Amino acid sequence: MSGSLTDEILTELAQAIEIPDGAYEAADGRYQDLGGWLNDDSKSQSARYQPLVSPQGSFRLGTVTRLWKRDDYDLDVALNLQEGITTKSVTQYQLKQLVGTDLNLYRAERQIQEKLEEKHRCWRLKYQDQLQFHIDTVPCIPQAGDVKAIIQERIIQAGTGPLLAHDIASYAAAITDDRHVSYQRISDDWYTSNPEGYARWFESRMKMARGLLESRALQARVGHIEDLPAYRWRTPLQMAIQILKRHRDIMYERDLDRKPISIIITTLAAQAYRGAFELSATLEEILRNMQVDYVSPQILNPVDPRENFADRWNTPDGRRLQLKENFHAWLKQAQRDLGMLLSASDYGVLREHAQKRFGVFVKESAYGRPTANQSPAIHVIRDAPPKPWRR
Amino acid sequence: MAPIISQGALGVEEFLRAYPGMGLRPIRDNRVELEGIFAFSAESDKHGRVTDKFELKIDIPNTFPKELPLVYELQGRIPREDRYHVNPTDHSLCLGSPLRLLTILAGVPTLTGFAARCLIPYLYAVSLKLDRGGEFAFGELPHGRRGEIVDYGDLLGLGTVNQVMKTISYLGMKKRRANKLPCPCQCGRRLGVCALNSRIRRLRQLAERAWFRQLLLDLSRIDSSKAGFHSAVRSGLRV
Repeated sequence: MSGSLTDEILTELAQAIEIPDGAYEAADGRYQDLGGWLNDDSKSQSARYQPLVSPQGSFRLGTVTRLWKRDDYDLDVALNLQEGITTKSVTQYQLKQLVGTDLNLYRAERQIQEKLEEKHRCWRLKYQDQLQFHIDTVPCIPQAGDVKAIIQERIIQAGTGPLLAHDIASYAAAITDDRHVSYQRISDDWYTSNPEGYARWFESRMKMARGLLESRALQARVGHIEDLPAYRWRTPLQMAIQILKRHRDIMYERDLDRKPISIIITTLAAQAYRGAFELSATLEEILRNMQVDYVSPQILNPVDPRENFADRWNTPDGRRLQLKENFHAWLKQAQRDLGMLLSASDYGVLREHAQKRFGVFVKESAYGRPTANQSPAIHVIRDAPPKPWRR
Repeated sequence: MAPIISQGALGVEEFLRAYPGMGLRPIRDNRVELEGIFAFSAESDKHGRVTDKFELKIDIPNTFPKELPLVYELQGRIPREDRYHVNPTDHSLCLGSPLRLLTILAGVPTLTGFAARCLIPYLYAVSLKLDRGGEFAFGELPHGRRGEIVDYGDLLGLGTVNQVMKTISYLGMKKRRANKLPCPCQCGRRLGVCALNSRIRRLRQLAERAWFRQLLLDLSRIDSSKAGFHSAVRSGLRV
């Protein structure tokens, strides 16, 4: 099958798993409404600390996939109280409660029926309308300057250029976690999280296709690609990650707790990407370069290389769920399934494959008739085959 | 250590290359599960060529090929009925008697070998039966333990139920001890010097003594006084 036809089919696949039109805008509306309310000092206690609400995770990166046998989208937002609070002045518990009180007031004012739900690191707000969202709000404050400097140094040591490393480290935040030993005490060793830094790193990987992004900016009539939210960049890297995540969702639809997590897929794919413009070439690059050592797996967080995403594989829980084996099983299967899409000469096989492995119905009319018919090898049954029997 | 999914003994890679419609399922309890469209084309002198596909799940134990994979048909194309040899409890496909399948696997101890020699003949026969009706293309065994006894008599070249049972009891003993006992074929010599011993030796390679002891226990549970028993085995074995 020709390269352009493969790309057409892959693009159709990517479009089919893209979230519905307007869902990103709806998500934007949700967190901006929350941000506006939190900045109103007649209503919110947080307002005096310059709250900044920003999306994180796949909504920030533009890699959300259409729901697959799940109820609602998970919109993660960081609520950063940028001024007036430090790890020396409040405990993690106090910060979590301060934000929780505000979110409860917000919930009442917006008439959200479901109760606010407390998670280890965030508050969950569930919307009951046609948009099927829940928002996980992570309370945080800017990380201390000396911690940022250490992080910056480690990012540079891991091979990132100093300018980008400085930019990434500047977004490092201190977060609350009710499993932390000093959760209810003043301490300066809060956990670090850096979703915005991660997004900046991810953007730097997408920018390897510079020419492509320049044309996207031109089409959108903006001066720079940064003037557009990442979900409107529509790069082959984003599409490739969406395809990989959908493949994972289907393979693990009955074993959710064993599935490779999105941050691992996204990080490895972005690291494996070399700047291809075409989706087929991007997937080939990613699948060729996406490797994790089986004996000592290392998937370092690019914005905090102290953190190895594969560490959980070696915990009692990770071993019980065979997370390492499952990651390798998924990767092998993804390589095989995408390899088949990229090289299929039989259109019927390709459609069946797209449906079974990616949950996408590829339209027949668009690509005409099969170009070849791949038949399985013929087995000759000789000797005495076993006779069927029933216990 | 190599990843479990590429361990040589299983031959998963080779199998998936040969049957690309099949794919890996999540790993659980060190077991590898494959699922997807199993497309095949096969022919025999008597019945001609069959090209067909079934949606299957194949559950491979980590002790394969010492233990047999379980195969399930997922779309319900194969009626879950006795006459199609589908296990009534878990709906796995009954491809053949366990010892027969293990004997075949010993010669081709890979998943592709299992597919070619154990699975495809069954699917070929089912496909013909679904299409044209009639009997199973290569014959079929009586259901339950009776069918097992008939098949083991055939495998061992023995003519009576008692001979089969005695031979299985010998397989559950240490070789040295069994060789000193009278041969189950009633030739009047001890087992150690009878030709049956070479067939028994091959079967010893397939499973542990405990497996044969359990088999004997299971087979002994058949109530041979039931009227159906005699008629069921009469075609293959004398009681």
